[in-house]
Amino acid sequence: MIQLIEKIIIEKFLDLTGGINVKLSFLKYSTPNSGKSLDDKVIFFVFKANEKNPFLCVKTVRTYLAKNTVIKNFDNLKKLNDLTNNSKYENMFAKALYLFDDGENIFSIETVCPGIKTKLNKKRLEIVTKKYIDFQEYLARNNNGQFITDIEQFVKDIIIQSELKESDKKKILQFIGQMSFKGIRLPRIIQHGDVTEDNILLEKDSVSIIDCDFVGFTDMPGFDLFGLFYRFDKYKSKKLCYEYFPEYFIKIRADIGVDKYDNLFFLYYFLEHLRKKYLLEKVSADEIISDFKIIYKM
Amino acid sequence: MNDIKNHIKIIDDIPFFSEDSYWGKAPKEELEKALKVLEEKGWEYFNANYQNKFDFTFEENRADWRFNIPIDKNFVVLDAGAGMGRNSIPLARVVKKVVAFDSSFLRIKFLKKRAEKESLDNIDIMVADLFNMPFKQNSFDLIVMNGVLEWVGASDKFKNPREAQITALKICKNLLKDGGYLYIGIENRFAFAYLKGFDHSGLRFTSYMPRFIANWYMFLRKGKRYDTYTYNIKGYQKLLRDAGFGGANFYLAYPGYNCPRTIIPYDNLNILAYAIKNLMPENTLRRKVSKMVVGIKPALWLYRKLFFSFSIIVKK
Repeated sequence: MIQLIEKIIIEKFLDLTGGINVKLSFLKYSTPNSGKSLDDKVIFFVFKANEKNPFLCVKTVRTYLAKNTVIKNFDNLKKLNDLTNNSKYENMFAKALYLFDDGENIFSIETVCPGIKTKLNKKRLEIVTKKYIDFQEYLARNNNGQFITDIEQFVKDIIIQSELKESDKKKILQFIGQMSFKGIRLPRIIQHGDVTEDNILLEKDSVSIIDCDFVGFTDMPGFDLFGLFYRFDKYKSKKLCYEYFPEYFIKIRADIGVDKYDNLFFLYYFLEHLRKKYLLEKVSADEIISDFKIIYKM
Repeated sequence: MNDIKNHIKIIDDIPFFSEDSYWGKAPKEELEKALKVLEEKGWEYFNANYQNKFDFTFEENRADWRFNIPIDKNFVVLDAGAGMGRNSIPLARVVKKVVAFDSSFLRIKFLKKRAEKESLDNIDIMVADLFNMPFKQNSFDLIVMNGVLEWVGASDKFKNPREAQITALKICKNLLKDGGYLYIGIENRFAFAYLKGFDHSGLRFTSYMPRFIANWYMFLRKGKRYDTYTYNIKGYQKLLRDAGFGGANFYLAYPGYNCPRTIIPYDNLNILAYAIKNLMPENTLRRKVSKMVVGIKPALWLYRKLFFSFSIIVKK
């Protein structure tokens, strides 16, 4: 397939490649988890001769039957590009450049984000968190006044439409029914859906976020930050949430009292399981609830 | 092939062109038991209990080297030494036909079951070895030798292992159509990893030794000759030339050719440096050191020389 990709890149991006006789080299990469399912992506970094860094990134799948993975990722990236165009956040994500689909092969071409994957420590986490809060503030300012005013109904709809077993749906609804969401008003803000250490690239003070498979999974603000803290250290995530969420909610102009934070955290926690189906397959609603109570000391 | 089939042994719809000879990291009894479990309790039970055994058999990324070859839906592929189907299954999804053979009946039987489960009806399966195959010349667009060439020398038909390897490669060349591709997944003779692990011989350091010393050492320790030859890049280039092939493309496969998550063109040190710096984990001391020395060209050059395994693609 590389031969086809090279041909298309030279055809479509003559200005970037610098001529039709250019020789491109390809570095194939897939994450340790890629290969478990046919929907998993395969990535190629494209290098020009003698260049130390790639100038393009190509994403494909192992069978054309899984083409929706590529299309979805490309569309999600375009969505983020549209939201951040001409802002100081436009380099936070790669640029979706081209989608090739000839009915047999499918691949997308995008730019490469600067930075490298780095193990997060508290200091780096703070850099990422601050940048992400600012980015979300920017989106909130441009969300055309769309708010979630009835959180309970918002979540009930998600649960009812989910693939959870009916008995599990009932238990989660019962648990949420005991909580109060009165007075909460959150602006709808698109969430990346998978802000993890693996998807964050750092370079000096710049933060880039890759892997757009879950972009738009929810527009409930705070989901990304919660996920970032939870996956950084689940037992410290409550402390981190209380440290950063007040500033976050002020910046995105959300109305929520601190006494309602834990209720919201459960919703994030539950959505996190809903996002990754394999998490749901491993645990029941009872386990989700009891684990949450342990981690968040409720 | 139908004419031939009428004259040969067939068990469970699998024709035999050579003697059954089991190989594999797991003992034969374990695979026998696993197959029995599969037949009696089905895939769901099997997956729950055996999914992670038998060397990543179910991972689709095993055949990712194929992206470096312009494969299309009309390709006819020979998977030589197909084992349990790590390459045959992903390939069968994207080509017209895969012919998969292995010297082990049990392993190929598992492949057959897996193909049936995946509803892949374009895989022909048989027990055979490289020196006993029922195919006509110029039959295949691609031949796969994944983890096979190093074992070919075990045949006692040849004076020395290298001769067996060259003969096997010549056979493959004859079976390939003009313009067809041969893929070889194999270890680097001088891989750093052999300092702490075992060579194919089952002994330490034999790949590093001059062949005659390795041979002598094998006789002393195991009572047989050293026959699992691997080479460095130059060695593979010469081997392929001696078998009549032209220039080959070499790639570094990380963490190994059996699970090539990262595939790096051998001739591009910049890409190797980028991969070490950006894509490889920092989970071992060696990895941490590699990240630190990545900017020093001689160190990077040496690192490449000591890389664990290669993906080799050569065109007829």
